[in-house]
Amino acid sequence: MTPLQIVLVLLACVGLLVALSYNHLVRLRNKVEEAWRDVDIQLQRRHDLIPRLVEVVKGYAAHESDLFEELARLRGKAEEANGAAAKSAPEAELAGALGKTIAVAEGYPALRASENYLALQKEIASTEDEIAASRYLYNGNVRIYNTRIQSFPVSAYADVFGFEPAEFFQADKGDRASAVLGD
Amino acid sequence: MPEPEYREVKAEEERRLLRDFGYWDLVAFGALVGAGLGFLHGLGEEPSLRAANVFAGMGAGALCAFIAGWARAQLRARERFFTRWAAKRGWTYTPAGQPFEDTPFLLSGDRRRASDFFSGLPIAPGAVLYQHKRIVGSGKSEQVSNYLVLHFGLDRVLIPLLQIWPHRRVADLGGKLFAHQEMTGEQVELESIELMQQFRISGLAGGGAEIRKLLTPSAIVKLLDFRRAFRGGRAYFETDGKVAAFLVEMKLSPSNPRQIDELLALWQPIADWLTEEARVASVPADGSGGRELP
Repeated sequence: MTPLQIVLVLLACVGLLVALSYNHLVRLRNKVEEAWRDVDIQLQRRHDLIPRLVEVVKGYAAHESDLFEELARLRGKAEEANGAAAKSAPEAELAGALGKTIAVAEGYPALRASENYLALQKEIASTEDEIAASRYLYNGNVRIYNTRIQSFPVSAYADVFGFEPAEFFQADKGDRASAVLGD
Repeated sequence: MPEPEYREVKAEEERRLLRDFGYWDLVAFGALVGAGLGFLHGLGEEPSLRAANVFAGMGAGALCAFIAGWARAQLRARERFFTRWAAKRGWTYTPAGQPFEDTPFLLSGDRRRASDFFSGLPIAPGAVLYQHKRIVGSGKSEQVSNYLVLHFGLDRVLIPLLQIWPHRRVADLGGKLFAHQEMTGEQVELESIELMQQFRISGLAGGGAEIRKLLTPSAIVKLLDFRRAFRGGRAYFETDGKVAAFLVEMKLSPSNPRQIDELLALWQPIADWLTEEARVASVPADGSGGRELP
């Protein structure tokens, strides 16, 4: 075997490894996007529940209009944000305001006994659970994907093929709604 | 009532054995039979060797009888200990029984054996925990794998078939290369990279949508939590019709019964999730017919 042939064989091997690695990175990136879609669906469920909660609580605590307006404003802000990093802060604020609304509602025994409210509270609790779980899975996928593209030798060509680090979805204050619901 | 200790139960059983007049009778009988066989064997030998044959036979017979009695005492100690240990928890222990064969994994292998059944567990209605032996091949090529199985029923069929099996990289590669598939159904991809690194998930052909609907993010997190906390061997989860079976590759030992408590605590969230899903689907709060599930 001549030196040229050896070099060609080595180049072919490297090319094959890069192709396999590229396919793997595409799969990982698709998983990150898929997990984000799950988070987005759950966040949308949360947004959809807010007008229903306001409607139910309003019937018993009409004078809490400031709180309802704040909730509507934060919901709008969260819906406008795009992407995991941009959504983190408004969603955390919205979850905080949602928790506050539920805490206020707990102060009205008649409301607490209402079947509508109880069903809604259960639905909110389950949605908050699913948000927490889908966020956990999404961040897990981001961690694996980012580690992969930032590790050598993939880091040497990941950038060239357009693989950029994905953003984490933070929720430092966002668990307040769950905390109020006793999760 | 204090928690029973296996060492104490074993020592108690050994003391009983040594005090037992029947045991020494058995040893003496073994020696006698051995001596007789030794004598018969020595008939063709020179007279000087006959006595040696008799003594050798006597020793071997006595030793066999001694070991058989001792092994019996160990078995009795094990049964007695597990009976007391289960009773302390309000469970029932049965040393032997027929293995369950109602999920694909429980039915796999050439032969199956079962022992050490615990019933009355609070983890799920009708739950039974037992030691399942899966035997493949025979003679010198026989391979025995031990599994601790939790078997319970669901209120209704959640999904026709769901198999969550651990990844076995070499076996998976072999399956791809030689078109041999160990799992019965069609494999399903879910969104969690970590879950797909840990487990292979499959159901009946065309059942992927039902599996994705059932395995919500919170259910996936429960499976991952289990995988991280369980430091032992491979773990399997299966539902087939109205039956659920959780398995881990493990041999039950009376000297470490806490492994059962630990395992049940790890399985509990997954069993709760499955039973709750089946209950919600079958008993609607408004009595209007329940959720649409296959």
